[in-house]
Amino acid sequence: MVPEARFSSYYGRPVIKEPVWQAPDVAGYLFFGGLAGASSVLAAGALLSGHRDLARVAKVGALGAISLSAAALVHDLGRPARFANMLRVFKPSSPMSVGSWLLTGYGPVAGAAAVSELTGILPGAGTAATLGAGLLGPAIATYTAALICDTAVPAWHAGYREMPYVFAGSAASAAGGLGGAAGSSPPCLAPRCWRPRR
Amino acid sequence: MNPEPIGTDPAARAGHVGHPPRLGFFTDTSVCIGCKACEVACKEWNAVPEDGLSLSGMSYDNTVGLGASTWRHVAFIEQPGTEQPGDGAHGVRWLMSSDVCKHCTESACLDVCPTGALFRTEFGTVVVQDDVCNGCGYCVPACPFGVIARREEDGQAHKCTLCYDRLGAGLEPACAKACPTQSIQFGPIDELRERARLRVRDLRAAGQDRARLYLDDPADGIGGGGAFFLLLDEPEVYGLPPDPVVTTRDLPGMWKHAAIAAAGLAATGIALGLGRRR
Repeated sequence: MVPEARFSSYYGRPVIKEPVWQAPDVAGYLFFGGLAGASSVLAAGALLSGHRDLARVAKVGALGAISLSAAALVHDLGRPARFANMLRVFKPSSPMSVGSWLLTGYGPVAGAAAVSELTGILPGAGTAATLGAGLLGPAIATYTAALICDTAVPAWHAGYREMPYVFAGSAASAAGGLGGAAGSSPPCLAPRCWRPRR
Repeated sequence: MNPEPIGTDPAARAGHVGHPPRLGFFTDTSVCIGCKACEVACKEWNAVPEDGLSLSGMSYDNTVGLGASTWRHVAFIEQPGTEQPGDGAHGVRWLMSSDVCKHCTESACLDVCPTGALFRTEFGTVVVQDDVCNGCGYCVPACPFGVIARREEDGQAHKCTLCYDRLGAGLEPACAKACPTQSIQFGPIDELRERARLRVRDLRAAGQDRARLYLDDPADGIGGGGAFFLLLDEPEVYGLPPDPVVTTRDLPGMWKHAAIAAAGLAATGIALGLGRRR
């Protein structure tokens, strides 16, 4: 017979420390970051296929979301005034370091896309920025999954193979929802709507 | 110089050239008397702030655990109804252990720190630079032992430095100096490991069959600890994880899945881009 499992602990205390991240800050950072990244992907696709209204909503939505995300991240720091210290080093072993550099690149590009759209200034640069943000968008929406899984928290760490798909899917739904809520009619993705080759 | 393989020489892996031998702690809990001189000496030398003056009800342990303002923590476990030789009267076995940061060879807190505040010293120890840390808190859930924490008063992460300032002056850490029974032993790691192996062998020969070393093995989940222990029972009894693994070991898989998910998201954008306006 397999003997009964005995569990001992030190007065019932947990072994690892609870994360210090505050729920509204980090949840906002994760959600808005995903929304921004996926909105940029949507904006790039909409731009290429001529969906002007959807592209507009998605570009502006991406800038708004990434601003909220960055604000939440900085607010959650123990020493917010030192947020720039994130850029002292680049460490691939730290998803938060990779993410800080991604945000540093993505933020201005998403900003340029939105500003160009809203003001009409430099439309060529605006198009390039939209495509650039669309290229970085997928990384912005998924690096946060690596971030929370790269801890000793058993539930998060154990789910590391699935978490990125949860984050990407959630980001895509949020971006699609924003596009729809802002009044864009859904684009046709069926093969009959694909542009014929010339 | 010590020609250790790179896997057990974290200082070399961090880029230190011509560094001194790796230093650490061997905490022999079998001779700990629970005096807490180590807790006091640590707080005094490092000017660590007071972090609670209440009674916990956990035997003589009113410190409760390691934290941003507790870098040495003495644990007390009373085990009634045991019959080990050398235990006191009334069949109660009393375990006492001074817990500390393990200064892991593969250190999760060091790996995830995005500002570079946490760094590997030339002695192989892990230290936080107080003027760099911005309190992001990533190190806190990364540590498999629950050692490092963020201090509310200044918003930054703090932990045992293995008295980095004393090492530089050729002195031993404050806790090792204060320990009256040599429970906390300090010195070059290989010397400590050899001493520990002999001590465990002697204890087992004397009938202490639950005596074991913890975190002494470079092949374990953290590459062995710069601070390792001789325990008289299972690690869980002391509040220690039985088989800690540094979270970074799975990071390549995390990036792989993140990349695949990102590619999927990009594919939706491409699908949209291929379409045309109705």
